[in-house]
Amino acid sequence: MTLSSRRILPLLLIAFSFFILSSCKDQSRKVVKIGYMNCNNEQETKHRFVPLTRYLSDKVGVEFVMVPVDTHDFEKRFNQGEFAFTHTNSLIYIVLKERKNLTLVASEKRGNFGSRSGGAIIARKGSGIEKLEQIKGKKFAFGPMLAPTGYLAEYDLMLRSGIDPEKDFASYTIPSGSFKHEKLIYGVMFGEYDVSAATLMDLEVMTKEGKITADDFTILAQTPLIPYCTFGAAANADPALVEKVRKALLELKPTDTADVDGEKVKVMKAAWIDGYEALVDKDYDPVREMAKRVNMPPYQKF
Amino acid sequence: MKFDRFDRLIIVFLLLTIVGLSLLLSRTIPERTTKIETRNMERELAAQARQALLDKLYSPVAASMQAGQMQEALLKLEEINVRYPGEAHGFILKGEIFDRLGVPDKAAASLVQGVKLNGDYIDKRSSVSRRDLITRLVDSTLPGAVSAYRNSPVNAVLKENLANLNYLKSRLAGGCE
Repeated sequence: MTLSSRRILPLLLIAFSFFILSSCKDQSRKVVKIGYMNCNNEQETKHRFVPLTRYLSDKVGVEFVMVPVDTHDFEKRFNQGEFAFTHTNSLIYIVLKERKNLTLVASEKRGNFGSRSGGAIIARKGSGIEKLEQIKGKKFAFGPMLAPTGYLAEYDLMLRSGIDPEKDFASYTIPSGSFKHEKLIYGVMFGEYDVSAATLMDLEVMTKEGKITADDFTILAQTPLIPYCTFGAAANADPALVEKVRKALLELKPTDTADVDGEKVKVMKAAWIDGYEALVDKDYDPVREMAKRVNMPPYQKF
Repeated sequence: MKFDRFDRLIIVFLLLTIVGLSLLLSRTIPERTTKIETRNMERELAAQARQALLDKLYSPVAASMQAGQMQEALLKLEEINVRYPGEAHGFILKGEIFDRLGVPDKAAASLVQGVKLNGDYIDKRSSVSRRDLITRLVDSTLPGAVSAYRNSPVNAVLKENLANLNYLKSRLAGGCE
């Protein structure tokens, strides 16, 4: 071995050690996965919630990874341990609470009613359908079956009003593909359906965006307001971590940003939300009562 | 004491000055009154024009509210808010709609925004006054809001609702912004 190679070798060893140490530093950050329920499609979910996930990583000091999940696969994938935190609608929250003792972390605020939202039953203005009693014998459309304010709440409202959706309509359907909620509203507008369920949130957003006007529809009935999107944590999740996530969500401000692909993105704006609120599990009881009356999970009886 | 010509001249000038000032004042006072009247009239005209514009602008919302279609009223309000997002009347109407929909915390929050922008809504002599609505809301919900907050003092939403109701209460009592 020459003199120069004797000198170079220790230097290389030192450099290699630094490289290993720096890699260890990155890997030492704990990785925790959050499952986000797809509202419309995976691309939209990523666009909305990658900045929020980055924000949580920065605030909590844990490497959070977002996992987009189809609504119907959510329970199965959660049971398989694919993710420890959940972002779902209030019905899926209740299913996981009843069956897996999911912990309530925080409830999302969006639109006129904050952490709560509701549904409506709508008909096209001028269609001659002016009252709820008149929807019997009509063509009806619901939102996705596990949607609290696009299906559950309206189904419950009809049952409580003496209308049985299984018997009293000429037909009823659920639009296929993504953007089901918007399809319901456009479906009524363009005469595909006589009447439909519609979430108040979609009516509000589409009106603000100028896609529809209030004069396009007659609102035949409105459901009670219930909690909507909800963050939860697995029962075995570290309580200190759960508390940190809750605190970070409740402290989220409109000015908070996250780095996404080298760009600073406003977290709340990207996620279409107005913040988070600390509801308690009891606040979800109206959803439980609806699910029981409509015979839906987790209370479904065959 | 003897007056020379120069003294007499000064007295004459003094008298002329007094007469001149008196004439000037007698003309100025009515002029001032006219200005005040004009200003009052201008203010009155502006208030009436604003009231007429608001009535016209928000008439679809008022019509839906009268028909008991609160959700429709809310959507019509959204349409108007796109053009006039910071208008106090919009916040006040939203507060009324929330109140009638049975969402008192949202009603209080909207009314606070409206009253902060325009104190006329809490003034009992104003033509746009919503003092009765605000008084009823505060009286009926404040005790519950206090106990809810005491039970859960870390809850930011309960804290904000209590702050809103206390703000309205202080404005009802005559407190300023």
